[in-house]
Amino acid sequence: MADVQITTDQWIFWQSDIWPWLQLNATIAFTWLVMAILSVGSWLITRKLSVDTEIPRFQNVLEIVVTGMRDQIREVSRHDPGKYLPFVGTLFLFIAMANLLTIVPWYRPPTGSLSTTAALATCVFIAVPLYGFASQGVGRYLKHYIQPTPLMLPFNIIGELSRTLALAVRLYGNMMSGTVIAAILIGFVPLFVPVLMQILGLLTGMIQAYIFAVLAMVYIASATKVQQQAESDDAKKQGDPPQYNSETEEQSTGDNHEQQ
Amino acid sequence: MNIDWFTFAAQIFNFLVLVVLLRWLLYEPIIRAMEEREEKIANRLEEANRKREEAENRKSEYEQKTQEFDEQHEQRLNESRQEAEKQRRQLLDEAKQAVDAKRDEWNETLDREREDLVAEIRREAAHVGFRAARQTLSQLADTELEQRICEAFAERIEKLDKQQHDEISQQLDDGNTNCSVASQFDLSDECKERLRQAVNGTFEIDGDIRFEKSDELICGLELEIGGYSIGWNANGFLQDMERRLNEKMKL
Repeated sequence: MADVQITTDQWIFWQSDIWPWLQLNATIAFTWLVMAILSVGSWLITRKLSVDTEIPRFQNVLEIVVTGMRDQIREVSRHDPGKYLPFVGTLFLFIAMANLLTIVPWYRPPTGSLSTTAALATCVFIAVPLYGFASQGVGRYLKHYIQPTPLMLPFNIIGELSRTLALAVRLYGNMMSGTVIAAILIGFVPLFVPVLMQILGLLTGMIQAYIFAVLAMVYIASATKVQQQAESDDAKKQGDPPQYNSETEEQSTGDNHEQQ
Repeated sequence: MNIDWFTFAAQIFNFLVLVVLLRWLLYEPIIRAMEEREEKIANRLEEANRKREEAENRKSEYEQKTQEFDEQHEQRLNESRQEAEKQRRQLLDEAKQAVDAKRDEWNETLDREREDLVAEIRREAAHVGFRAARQTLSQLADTELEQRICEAFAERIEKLDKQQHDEISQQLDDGNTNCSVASQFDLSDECKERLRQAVNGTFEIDGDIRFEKSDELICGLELEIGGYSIGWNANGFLQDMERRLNEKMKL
């Protein structure tokens, strides 16, 4: 048990003599592995795409994955998924692939490192205002931090930070616990039980990937809500049925996912 | 629970690189392929719809043509029927006319033959009757028929009614003194004398009486005097016989 690393950050393959902070640890190495699998796999499949009615099996799988992600994004954001897909889709694919590979011996998921999950959460934290600026403009986006009153400004900022922290810690906690539990159980019951835990770990990993991506999408969608509400008000004036309210959805989805 | 800040920065960089890579290698080609395929399928559907519309148009066109053809066929059939009926009537009319003409011709021929026959019968009857009468008279009364006719004629002249007698006398007085007796048979001298006696006893004439022979007078005599004609013959009986004969033959 002594050699079980709590975090992959401490599993160092190479370290610079000049700058000791420059090191190649397992987190980065396995991240590169996941990136390589995703990129090379995509390239192998998409280099000879068919536009006929009959398509290769792997292309069909990729199309199902991409179409499923587009549908999820459209459902949450009520927008064209085009500009969100690369970011949100890559979040899902990366986390899912990183978690799936836990069935490989000696592999440790990079998502079990708080550095990785914090990095991904930080990306979401930065992407949300960027998408907000793009859809509403900087002024209108920043204005909703002081709504309904300027007194709410600190609470809004704390909310932004805390949900980013929650994103990072939720994913890290789930993945790290799976690894730790597996390591501990191998010490007590080395046969069969670790296999069951492994299966459970795969399920948890897929769920976490889904939750992370959907939450990121919900945060981004909430950043464009002012515009949506304006559109919704216009629609109501014209007698159309009421539009989707992203704030309500964010709260309900967020609450559900927080419980998990 | 500690964060390695180099790893943190490296992972942000790694993630952004992965976003770019997947966008380039996965999302764009896949979405493009799907859109192209959708477009292709839409085009095929459109093409299929177009072809179906074309086929339906052609179908309706053919149906219309077939209907027109049927109508024309029916029309021509009717025209042919009417033409045939017209020709039939014309032929019937012509045949009827031909039959009528033939019948008229036959009727004419029949009439002519009947008339000829009647004339023949009349002649024959007169002849036979005349001979029979002569024989009967000669056997019963020991008298010649001609003699008897002359006697009867002379008596008729002598017993002429007054008005007629006066009119003839008037004509004779005016200078119309021509007097002749026509007969079908040769008159004996005795007969001639008897007739002269009767005429001269009744009228006053200057010249002699001229005696002529005429085939038209059947078994009779005729006196032409003062422009008047007094006759006695069997024509009346014969005409009556001819009328009856004609009636019988028509039946």
